[in-house]
Amino acid sequence: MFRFSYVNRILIIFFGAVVAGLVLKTAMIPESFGKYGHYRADWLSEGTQLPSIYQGKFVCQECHNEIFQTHEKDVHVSVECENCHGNGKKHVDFHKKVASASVDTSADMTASGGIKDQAKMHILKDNQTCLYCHRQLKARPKYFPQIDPDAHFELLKVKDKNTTCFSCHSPHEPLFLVKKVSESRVHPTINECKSCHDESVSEPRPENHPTIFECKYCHKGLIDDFKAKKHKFLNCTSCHNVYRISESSGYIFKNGNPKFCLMCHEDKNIVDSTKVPVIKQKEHYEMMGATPDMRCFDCHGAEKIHDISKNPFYSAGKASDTDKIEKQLQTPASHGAEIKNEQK
Amino acid sequence: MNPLGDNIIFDFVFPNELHVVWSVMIVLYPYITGLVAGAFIISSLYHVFERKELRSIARYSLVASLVFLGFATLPLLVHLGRPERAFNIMITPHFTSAMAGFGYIYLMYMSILAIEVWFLFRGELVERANESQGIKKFIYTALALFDLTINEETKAFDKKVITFFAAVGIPAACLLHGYVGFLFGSIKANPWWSTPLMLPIFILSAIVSGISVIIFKYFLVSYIQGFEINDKCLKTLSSFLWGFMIIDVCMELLELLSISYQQTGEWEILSYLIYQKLWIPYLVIQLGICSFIPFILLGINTIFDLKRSTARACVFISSILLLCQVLAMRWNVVIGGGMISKSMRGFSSYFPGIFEKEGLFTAFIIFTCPFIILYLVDRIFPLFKFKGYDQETVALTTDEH
Repeated sequence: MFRFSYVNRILIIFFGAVVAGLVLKTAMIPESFGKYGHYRADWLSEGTQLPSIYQGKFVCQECHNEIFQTHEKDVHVSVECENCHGNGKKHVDFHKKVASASVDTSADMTASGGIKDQAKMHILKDNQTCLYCHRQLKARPKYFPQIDPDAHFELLKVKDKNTTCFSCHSPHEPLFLVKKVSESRVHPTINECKSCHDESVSEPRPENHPTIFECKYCHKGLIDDFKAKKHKFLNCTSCHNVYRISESSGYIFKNGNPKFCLMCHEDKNIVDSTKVPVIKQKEHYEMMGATPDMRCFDCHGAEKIHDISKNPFYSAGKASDTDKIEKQLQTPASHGAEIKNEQK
Repeated sequence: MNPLGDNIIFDFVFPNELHVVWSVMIVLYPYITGLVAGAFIISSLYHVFERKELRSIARYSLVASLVFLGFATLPLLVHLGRPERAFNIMITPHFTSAMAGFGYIYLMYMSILAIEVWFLFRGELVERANESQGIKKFIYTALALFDLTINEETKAFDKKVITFFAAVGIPAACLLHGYVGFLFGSIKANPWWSTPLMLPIFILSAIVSGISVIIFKYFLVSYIQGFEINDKCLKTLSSFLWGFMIIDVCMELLELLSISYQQTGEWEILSYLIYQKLWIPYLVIQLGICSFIPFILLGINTIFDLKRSTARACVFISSILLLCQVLAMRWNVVIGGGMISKSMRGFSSYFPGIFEKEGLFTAFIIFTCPFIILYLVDRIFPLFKFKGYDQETVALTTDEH
């Protein structure tokens, strides 16, 4: 030991701290640690005992059936409620009056941070939430809807860059589909040469080449007419939404819901009305003497969008184009036959 | 809203890479750790290598080093979602966990610093205990470990102990900050980080930032407290800063030369990172403005005998620019590496929010804390105007100019 007592004392403190640290470290190692690997083995059983935090969409349906049904028919059908709203444990426990450790019942009922407040579901309204899936990325499959926000606002003449996605798009029914996804018509989806070939392939294709389904191959007259109209800056798929189910087929919709047109044309002060014609739906219907079941296309279709009679498959009355396309799909050399075989 | 706008993605980025995980907190962590190592080196230059002219700053440097060390891991804890679990890496360490290794090195270095600081202040503690009464006397006696022996023999012994720990602390300081460099340099999946040069670059930049922060605070405290700066001390600090910054910047340029000359497969993305994404923070700020100007100013100050006010201005400006240089270097390493997609074909972008959990305001608070603590310590134990300082300052300043 040293002659000076303070040196001895500081040595005692130092080594005492080291020994105490080692003892503490040893004491704090969980009993089952290292049994199977570098982790606490007891967790394997403890983890299974934890209450389930996420409820699943069918629990939401019990109380919110209307929204559930709307959500189920649209393309967000595969996005669970809790993906955007957060887990529903406290919310469900509170409203079903389940005694649960997840809700702090000692808190006031209505105060900020109280029981009712804890039980509220999140509503994520910032654009980043939507852009997490829909931001334009080269790594995303091309058929997946994705946007460059600035270009999107520019295209739609939106004045305020802080406009939320929710100003136009309903997250529960982003495409306002009239039918459920599963009930819509199966249609060959638009394919590109590079789906099968590398990019160096050049046209013309050989005569026995399987059909590549691009809109213009079957609906040329209609598309030529569309290109002469005001909406020519849009793609066919902007309105005829495609929901891909495989590499070569998918569900296709003709969007006849007025809410779809109103995404761009409703007078909501976010769109530059000097560049995009806007209306208030109720007043417009009243003024024009339209019945509530009428679609925008019924009056504006031929003039503003495209003249349906220019469709080579069009025949007055029933939409016989479907029958003709179905017939075409029976042709052995077409992709359609392959689709049929796949589906079988 | 993102201040960079919504177009924050460039080219081929995987959807799970939209969020840059390592934030400004991870920038702050090596920055503060670097200040520790650099400040300690200054005190060791006096205590071990007997650069007497650094006496007036050595005490402050050592205490600053300990205070910065106390806050070095705070940004990491703020970054974690469950900070209380951070200590599990110390309880059940694993060789594959580089951070567990850092925890032990951090503790070892903290012990060395704490012991050295205690020995440095023992004489003053004893003196205050003898002069005080009541509760103050008890506190000072307790801090002196209830042994108020002080004589020439104990003073000589204490000095030897301080020298010993100051000497041991040098490799420990290098190890501590070299290890921070190793944390990045060992991540082989990221081409911007994965280089053995990361270790010496981090050590050297740590020394540069440490000396700079001490110079900056020397000016600041002298202005606030109204005492005269020791010009001989300043000149020595300036010379060391010039030397270390030259080696540091050369190492950074050598690393750039190395990766660009090798022309590996990753160079395509790295060149885009350097010349496009990090054009301003890396080439303009880090290697341009904040390296070139201090190099000229400190060089002039070291080679020529300038007027006192000019010399002081040169050193003061250089210290601020070099603090920015090292901060920019940490930013470019951490954020630059985080932006590169694992596809090696695209980038995401990052800019911290102001009031978010890991935002600029939090970073400001964390970075301010050591300065506030140092101010409080200085109020209790004057770090500059200590006994015998004035006479020595006068003696050292009057033989110049």
